[in-house]
Amino acid sequence: MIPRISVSHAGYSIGGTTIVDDVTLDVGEVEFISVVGPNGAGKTTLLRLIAGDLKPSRGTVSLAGHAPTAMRPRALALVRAVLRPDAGEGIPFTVRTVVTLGRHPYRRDPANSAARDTEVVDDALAATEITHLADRVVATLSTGERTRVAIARVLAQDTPIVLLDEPTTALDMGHQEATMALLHGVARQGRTVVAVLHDVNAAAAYTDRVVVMDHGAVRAVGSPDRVLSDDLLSEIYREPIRVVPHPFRATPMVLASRPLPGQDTGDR
Amino acid sequence: MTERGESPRRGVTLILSLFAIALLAVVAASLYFGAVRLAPSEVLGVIARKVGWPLGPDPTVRAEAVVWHIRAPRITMGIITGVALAFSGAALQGVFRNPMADPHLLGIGPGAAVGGAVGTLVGGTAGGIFGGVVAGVLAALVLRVLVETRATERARFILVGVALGLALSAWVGFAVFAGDRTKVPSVEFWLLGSFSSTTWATVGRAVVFVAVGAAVIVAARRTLDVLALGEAEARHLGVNVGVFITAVILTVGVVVGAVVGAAGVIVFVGLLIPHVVRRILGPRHGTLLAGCAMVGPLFVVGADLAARTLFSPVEIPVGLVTAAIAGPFFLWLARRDSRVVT
Repeated sequence: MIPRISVSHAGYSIGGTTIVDDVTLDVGEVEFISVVGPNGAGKTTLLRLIAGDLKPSRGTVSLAGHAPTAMRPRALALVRAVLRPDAGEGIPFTVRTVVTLGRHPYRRDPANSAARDTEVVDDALAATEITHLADRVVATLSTGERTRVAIARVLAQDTPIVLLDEPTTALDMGHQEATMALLHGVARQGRTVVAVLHDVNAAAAYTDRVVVMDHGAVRAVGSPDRVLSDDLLSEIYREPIRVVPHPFRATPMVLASRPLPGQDTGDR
Repeated sequence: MTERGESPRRGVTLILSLFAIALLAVVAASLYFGAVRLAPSEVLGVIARKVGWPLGPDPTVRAEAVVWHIRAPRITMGIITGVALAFSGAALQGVFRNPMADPHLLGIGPGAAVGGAVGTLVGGTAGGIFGGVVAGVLAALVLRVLVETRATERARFILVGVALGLALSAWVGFAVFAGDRTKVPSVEFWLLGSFSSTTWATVGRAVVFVAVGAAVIVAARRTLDVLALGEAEARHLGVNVGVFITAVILTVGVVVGAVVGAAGVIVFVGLLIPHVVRRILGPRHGTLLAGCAMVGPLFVVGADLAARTLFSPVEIPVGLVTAAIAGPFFLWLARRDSRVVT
């Protein structure tokens, strides 16, 4: 079977600076993958290479066997949806209008209908818990609410591949957990979800595999309990970090362990 | 804080109907008022006969000449111009996601005026429209190339357009003064606009370009909505952004070129009308264009009525009226709008 996303020795350089270097990654059908790493590690650039926003300088990227940069924009929009950070600022439309615009790729699809659009949009609004905001103007919402609108729009696009750049960074703890659970469910329904995350704990709790990046390269790929280790995380974040078992979830928990001023935390 | 932006669907039809009634009223007033005084029954008689409905006594030859051959074509050209400029403003504001975008402010109008002046020297009124369209498209292409990489830098974008427009306005003057001045309208005509020389022949040629261009812009309305989410988002939703923006700008070149070739540069219509309609009907391009199709002609025909009656029998350029009304109004709008995101 052809993997949904196949990245092979892909690199991206601009102005002599290598931002992504020799990344190889295959993502299968029903998977929720997270990409973590320090600022400037090349996470967003890798996501943009997969999205077809950027053409790899070296190597190849393919979505279901096709190079995204060689696909027609509309065909590509039926394969992958993308959430960018700071989405939705200054948009004068209502929430329902924005989410409905997620159906734009199906506009001339004879198999699609207005009723189908309404159904998908209603489901997306409900899944992201913004049905009560449907008639509000997006520009007047809080950052967290706007993020959920953007996620709803991405869900309405109804693509086999969903790419998200920091979908939870602007969200409060409750909505962060709800969003991660939602994305986990979306993957279980048969979609491939790739999310760039800053919160390593969210990645550890909800994603099937974690891609750890540093300096443009992939340092490790695998299930959270295999990949997330004290040494690797401390090295890439240049910060003492400990990984311990979560007290009541069967997942690893990542903790900052820098001694606080005036406290002797010791090493237990 | 009041919510600004999209308005609910209900009410849109009512508002559009009110706009249509207002437009009909201005058209009726424009048929009636003018340097030559006619009885309302005479005006009605002429129009009724032209639509194949013989009503009342036969109108005089003079009444028919004034109403049908002088006032009606200039009113029709005013309607065409209003649609063309309001649509162009809405389309440019949409593709550049910049509320200051306007075909004349960005140099497309002045460019078309150069072509119109040269075209008129070569081929009379028909040459003026054809030259306007060719030059309008060329100016649109230049604009497309100039803003290609910097479209998001608002200040630079407007400066580029204004500089282009001023340079091209100077070339209108060169074309007029270098040519045979008995064969080409004055600089005043080209840069301030006028419908005083409009005939049915002018209308017939301009309407073809404007109808085709307006249809293209209407067809682009949903994609313009998608583009309002951002260029990256539009690309992610399957829009070929570069091709789309180029197509819209060139269409604006055609539409603006035709009306400038026919009636010169009439300022502020493209800038102001979409702003006014957006405030009333919301930002979605479907309803925005429907509103522009009413309010654009309403404003231009009304301004032309003022241009020819204010200092009657002297007629002033219609662009002076649009600028005098729209300028302060726009400043007021800009002041209010500066408090909210656009």
